[in-house]
Amino acid sequence: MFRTRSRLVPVAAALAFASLGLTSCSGTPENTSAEPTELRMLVNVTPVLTLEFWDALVAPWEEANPNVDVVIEAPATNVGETLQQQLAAGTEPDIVDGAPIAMAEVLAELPDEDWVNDTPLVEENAVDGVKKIVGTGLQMQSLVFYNKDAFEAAGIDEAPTSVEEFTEALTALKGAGYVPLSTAGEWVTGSQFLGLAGPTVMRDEPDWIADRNAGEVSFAESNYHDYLQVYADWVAQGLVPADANALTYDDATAAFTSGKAATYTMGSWIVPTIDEAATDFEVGVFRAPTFDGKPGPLTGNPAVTYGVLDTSDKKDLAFDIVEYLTSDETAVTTALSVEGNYREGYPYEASDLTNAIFALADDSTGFITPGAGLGSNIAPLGYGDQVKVVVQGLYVGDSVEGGITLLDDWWTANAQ
Amino acid sequence: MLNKITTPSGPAVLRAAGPERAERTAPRAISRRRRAFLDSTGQVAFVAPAFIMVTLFVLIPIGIAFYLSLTNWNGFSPNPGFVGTANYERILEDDAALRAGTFTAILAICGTLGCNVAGLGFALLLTRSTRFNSFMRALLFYPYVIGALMIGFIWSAILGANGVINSALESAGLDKIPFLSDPTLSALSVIAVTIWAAFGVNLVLYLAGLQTIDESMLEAAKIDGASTSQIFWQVKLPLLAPVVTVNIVLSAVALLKTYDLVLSLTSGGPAGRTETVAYQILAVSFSNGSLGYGAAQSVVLMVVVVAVTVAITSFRNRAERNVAA
Repeated sequence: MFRTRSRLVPVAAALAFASLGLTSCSGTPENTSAEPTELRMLVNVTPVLTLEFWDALVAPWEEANPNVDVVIEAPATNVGETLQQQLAAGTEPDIVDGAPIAMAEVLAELPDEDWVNDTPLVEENAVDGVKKIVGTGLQMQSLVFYNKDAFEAAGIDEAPTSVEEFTEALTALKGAGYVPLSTAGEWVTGSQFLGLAGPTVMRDEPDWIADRNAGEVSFAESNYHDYLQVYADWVAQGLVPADANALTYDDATAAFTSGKAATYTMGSWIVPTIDEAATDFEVGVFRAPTFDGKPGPLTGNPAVTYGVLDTSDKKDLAFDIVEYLTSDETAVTTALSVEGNYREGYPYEASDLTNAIFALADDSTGFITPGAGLGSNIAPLGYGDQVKVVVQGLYVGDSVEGGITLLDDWWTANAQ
Repeated sequence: MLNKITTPSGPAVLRAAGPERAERTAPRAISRRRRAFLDSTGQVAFVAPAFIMVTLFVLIPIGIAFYLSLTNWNGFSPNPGFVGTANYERILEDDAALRAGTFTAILAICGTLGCNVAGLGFALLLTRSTRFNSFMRALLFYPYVIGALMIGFIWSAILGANGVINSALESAGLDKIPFLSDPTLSALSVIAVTIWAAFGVNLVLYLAGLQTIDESMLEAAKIDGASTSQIFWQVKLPLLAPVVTVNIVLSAVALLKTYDLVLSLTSGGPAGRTETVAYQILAVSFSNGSLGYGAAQSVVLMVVVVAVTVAITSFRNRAERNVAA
């Protein structure tokens, strides 16, 4: 028995040591000017926000702080899920880009300074009045990009402003031989629906998400219900590709940039891709149509956002680099231009299409939150995925009523 | 202990060496109690490492999963709240979970059947050792070596709306086949690709099993006038009973936990129709931030896997006893 116990000792010691390593926070004590240190930064990686882009973005700050090495980390799946896994393992980074606001409780309160207060939508994105996430710029959503040649061929003179006009336009485009509205499976189906329906709901009911969390409103009695019916009609009329569920985001983008599809609902992040495609037709953009056709605020959300982990033992350094990334003119305009984002006071040389979006922003009466909400008034995590399932269901014969019931039931079950 | 060692022919080794030597080397008498203590200590010492490993890497994680299943933990909050059996009750009311359970059951049943029929069928065809057969064995086993995630991507490029098949059909002026956008066809596609990817291991196990069958039994059956079909059903298959059991259990357990292939082939679509339980668990735990609920689903899946394993093994025991007889 003694022998058995003696064997256990090194095993137990090793495990204890390993668990200490796992549960301790990453990094080293507060950096001094002489002591080299490392800042870990988990970032969102996309076709335009590449690891090379991130390395270049932080390089000037690293040069100014030669004793600090900023380690850029890509997520395994997406930022939210990876951060969640890292938190569970005790291996979370110091800084995170693109963290879901639902995870704000693990982030540190940002200092009450101008560089924080001057960032877009920072007040709206505060959780219980506490600012934990700052954005570099504004990402416009609920935009419809269109092929001007296709519109001309279909005899459409003006960009539609109402849902009815938009449906007529799609029908005319189908008649002219185009795929009326480019869409895809994956996350695209849900994202596009929220992009289209969001402005109508949020403009008329800005507190809809808070009210839904309180159980005072429902999908069944909202414009989401009516818009889902419109979408179901589009599916029935063949105004969206019948095989959309089997298409990828890249397929949908290629269908538009190749001239096969006439319209494409997406956020401003798609602009660099469209510009790079160098289409042989002119691309225009208009805001997602509403039921009454009246313009209102544009849908926007903070883009390229940063938060500092509350467990970081290098908060001062982390705040310093976040300040640089969200206020330095070069850093900000670099981040803005790569995704075609917008921020007042930070002009940059933009493409015609980006400028067209900026014109929409200038004409709007402000910004409203997108479908998933901001700050304290947010949808439960996974909302986009649930909307995706419901909208994809319309392609395979599911009913509008069933989908709406599913959304209401899901929200009720998942609301915190 | 030493004086107890015997040869197959019977006499004790020490006794065979002569009485003088036996007297010189005979160990001191050990009390029965001390011997029992030493025996039990030895047994414990041999079992302890495995027991510690199983406890650390199986029992404790299961315990943690069960504890989490009783909470509303979102995966990042430091203080999960205790909710009792609410997560388990929620599973019964969750249409998505029940749909995923149904599809997983269909996938496991059809997949297990498919993998074993294909595995045994090809094993019978490739029993003889020839160069061609060796090449075919390697070729058919190869998909099992490739990661399921990669296989899903490969097949999505083949079956997708703009995939190889549909592009060819479109070029020929024919209608596309909605392999991944129609609910029934996408489910069939997942099942078919799963069988294609997994049956290689069944093939190898059946080949090994077939090679253990005594040729004389097959010769005897032939001399008795048995047809090829009768030899298979009356001789080979009964003798393969233990291998069949292993194959069925391995396939069923693996298919009940299918995740990566679904992720890369259909992403659970269209409209969640090809989501499996494992896919649901991951989605609920991380995308939805409901790790407590995901843990409850994991516990249920674990219980189902254990129950299926026990059921199959019990059911197959009779067939194996017949072989032994």
